[in-house]
Amino acid sequence: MAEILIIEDEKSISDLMKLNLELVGHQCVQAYDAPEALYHYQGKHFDLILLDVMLPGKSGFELIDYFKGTAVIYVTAKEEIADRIRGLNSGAEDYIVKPFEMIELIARVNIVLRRFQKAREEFTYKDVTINFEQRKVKKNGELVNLRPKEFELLEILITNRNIALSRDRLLELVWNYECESDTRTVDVHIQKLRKKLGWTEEIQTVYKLGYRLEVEL
Amino acid sequence: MKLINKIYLATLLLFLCILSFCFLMFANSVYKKNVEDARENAIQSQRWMLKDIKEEFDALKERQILTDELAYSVMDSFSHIYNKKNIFFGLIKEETLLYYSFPYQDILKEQKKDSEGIVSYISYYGKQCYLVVSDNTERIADQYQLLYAERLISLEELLQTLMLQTISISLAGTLMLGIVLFILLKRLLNPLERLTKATNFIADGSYDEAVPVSGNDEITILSRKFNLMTQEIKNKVDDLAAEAEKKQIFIDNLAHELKTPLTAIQGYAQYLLLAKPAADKKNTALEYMVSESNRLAGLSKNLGMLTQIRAGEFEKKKIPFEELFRSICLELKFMTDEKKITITEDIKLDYLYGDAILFHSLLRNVTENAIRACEEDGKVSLTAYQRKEQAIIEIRDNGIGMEEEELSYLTEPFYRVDKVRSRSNGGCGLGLALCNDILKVYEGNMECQSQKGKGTAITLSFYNLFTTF
Repeated sequence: MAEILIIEDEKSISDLMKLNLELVGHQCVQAYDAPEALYHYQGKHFDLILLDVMLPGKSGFELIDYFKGTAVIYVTAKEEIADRIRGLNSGAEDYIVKPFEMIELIARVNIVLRRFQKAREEFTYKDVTINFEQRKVKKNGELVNLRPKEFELLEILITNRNIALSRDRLLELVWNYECESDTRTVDVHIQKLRKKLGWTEEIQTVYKLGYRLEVEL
Repeated sequence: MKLINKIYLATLLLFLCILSFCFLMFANSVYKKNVEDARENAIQSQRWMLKDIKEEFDALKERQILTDELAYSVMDSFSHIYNKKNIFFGLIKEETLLYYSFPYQDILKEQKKDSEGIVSYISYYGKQCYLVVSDNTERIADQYQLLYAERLISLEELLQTLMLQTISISLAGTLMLGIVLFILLKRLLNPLERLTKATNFIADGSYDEAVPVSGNDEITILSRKFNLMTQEIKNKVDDLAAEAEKKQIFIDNLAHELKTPLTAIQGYAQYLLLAKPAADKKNTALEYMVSESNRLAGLSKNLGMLTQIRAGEFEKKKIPFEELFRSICLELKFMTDEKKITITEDIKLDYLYGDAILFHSLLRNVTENAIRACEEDGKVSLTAYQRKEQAIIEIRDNGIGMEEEELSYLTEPFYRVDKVRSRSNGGCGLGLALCNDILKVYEGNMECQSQKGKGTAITLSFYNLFTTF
């Protein structure tokens, strides 16, 4: 969905972020130090930059000035309040502290992208097209009638595609833990979605883990 | 009540008592002397009076008209004259008092017999003081005994004066002492008070106040020592603060070093669990998990060793050096094979004496660093020999080298020169810090020389002698 530049000197973490972001459809380029980062930045347009504060040589706080005009999220192990504030004051959109969960990273990336209108308005997979702006879903060109919660559930599945989401997680994200709901609500809504979209295979039940919308990369 | 106040009051009281006592003693002797003088005079005077009276009486006796009534009136006329001079008489006939002109009769009470027959004593009547002389031997007209009493006015005045003087001088003296002592004590105690105030500063944590030092007495010495002590405390506190900061930095770095591998392991595990990755991505994830776990294991092992060294538990063994080095080269074979690095050795050192594990760690860390620094086809050379009681081990490499400034940070815990490379190779930055600690155990040290782009040479030297086993 978006072009993301990952600036992180730890190869293991850099690869981890790339794998996760590619899962949900983003394209990633990796840089391991300041010169490499600037080189890539000048050669291509990016929608978002993930920047590590502790880089060899230049600190992330200094580098951000070179990326004016592009959304930047700091990713770092330094969690002190002072550093967070400094980070946000220096113009970053967000500040993520290691260790973080995959879903958290993806969610924050998406939020920032949405802020900059870089989130896709439309998503198409196989014979289904979803327009997030208009909140309309079409299957084979025909409008599909989805209830509000069904639509929101679908949106969450697409945003976190290829990642197994537990029922509790889905409850939290879609229903905000409203009192009356319990996990069976999730099951029911998933069934409805599958039926209405014809996505019985696509929306996989993952044993012990939850549900996963599988979209080929 | 404060100690100094107690002492002050006690001193004043004591002074008052002593002064009063001395004065009383003095007054007493003066008084006694005066009494003796008065006694002498009175006896003298009595003799004259007696003679005069005797003449009168004898004259009457000769005319054979002497009667008691006549005797009475004769005495009376004498008394009229001499009473004004404070001299009084009494006449005794056959144990009875026939006549007396003293103001009170009890004057006779204190009569005592004296060896010479002349009895003289002092009698007090209120504030009045009389000297009484009674002569048993000389009789007037063979039948009367004369009693003579003189009022000692001057003695009375003396007594009063002495009393007054004693009291006033004692009080005045004590008062003066009080004032002078007070001023003196105040001046002496002033430095002590300043000293006490200074301790308040120290208690609050400010070590920069110095107590002014003046004069040359005990308090001066105390002040000087106090200032020295303050300085010492300040130094110690600064040292402790520096130590604590170092420890904090160590812990911060440690936390950071832990976070990264943990993030990776956690992240990849989650990824494998929640996503449905293809085989190659799966392998990548698993490989990372393995390598990061190894990293944590290495970190843990190094930390354990650092703790062990600090606790001071090491053994003493005889370790064949060449064997040790060969086995380390074998352990690192995978690294040297990968980059096609050659290791040459020039060993003139037979044995190492100490803890096998520590030496293994020491040698391996230094060798590993050398290998890591090298690029493809790099060369690492080891030279080892004994110089007097020290072992000298030198490791050279022709790798990437370091800048001057980086050399000083080399042995700081968690410091890495080339972060990207060494981390991917599994280093955690504790290697040289550990080596430094190990060397310290054997009273040794490490010297580094390096040129960026050319290579590095590290020289280890330490005490290596067969002592008592």
